[in-house]
Amino acid sequence: MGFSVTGSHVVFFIASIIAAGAVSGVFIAVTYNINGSLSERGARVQELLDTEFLIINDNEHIPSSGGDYLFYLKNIGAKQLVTTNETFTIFIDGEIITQNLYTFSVETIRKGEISTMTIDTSVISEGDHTLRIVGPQSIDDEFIFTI
Amino acid sequence: MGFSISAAAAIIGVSVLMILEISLGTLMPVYMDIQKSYDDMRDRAVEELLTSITITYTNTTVNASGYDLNVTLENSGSTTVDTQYLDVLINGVSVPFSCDSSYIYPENNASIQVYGVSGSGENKVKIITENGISCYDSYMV
Repeated sequence: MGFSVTGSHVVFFIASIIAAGAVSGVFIAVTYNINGSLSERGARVQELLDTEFLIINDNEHIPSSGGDYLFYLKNIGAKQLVTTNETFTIFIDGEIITQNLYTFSVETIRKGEISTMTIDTSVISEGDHTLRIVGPQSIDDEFIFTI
Repeated sequence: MGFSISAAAAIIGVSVLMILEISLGTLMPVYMDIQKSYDDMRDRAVEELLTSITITYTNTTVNASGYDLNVTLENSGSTTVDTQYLDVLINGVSVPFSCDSSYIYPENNASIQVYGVSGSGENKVKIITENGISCYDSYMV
């Protein structure tokens, strides 16, 4: 009888250790996952705060060259900006422009530098238009111009 | 029974301390980075509000390759303008230029020269600062 009491205490002790260890393991695993997600979210928020750009063209004089209109995109944010067809999406009067119809002169621009964006003249008719350019983290700029 | 509870509580207590250590170690740098980016963004916004430039004088000199344009730019704001990051557009086209000073301090002027410009009649010049603040002027050739 004495041995069975001791045995049950040992069983309770081992069970409590296993339960506590399992709970601790779950807590730590969940914490790792939450921290990883928060870190990624933090990096996105940081990029959002650091990204800023502007179309600096003269609204009434849009230059053209070799069948393309030229738009100047200036990086006025705090960090280098990647200017490619993958990072930027372009809308003319609300219509999305397919990636093969626009290009950028350089792939990266530092703070204060400009990248020349060329848009095929076939997608812009004469008259007033609105250019909307959407960049990383959905930061956008709108530019009203006339051809 | 009492010892089992104490041991389990100790294990969970240690794990809570580990969680706090992991969380603080991971999240504090993220928080600091976001705080710095937010401060930078606020500084940029304030600087934009304080930046202002005005073209006070334009002059052209006709020569064999077209004309040279001389623009006097006044810093009418209360921040210093870095001329390295200025952009000059003539009739919408970005052109290379030279400036007689690296910085334009508030209430000061700088002279900007653009050489070998083509065209005649009425023309428009636009100058843009590092943070996107701009000014226009028209001139005749």
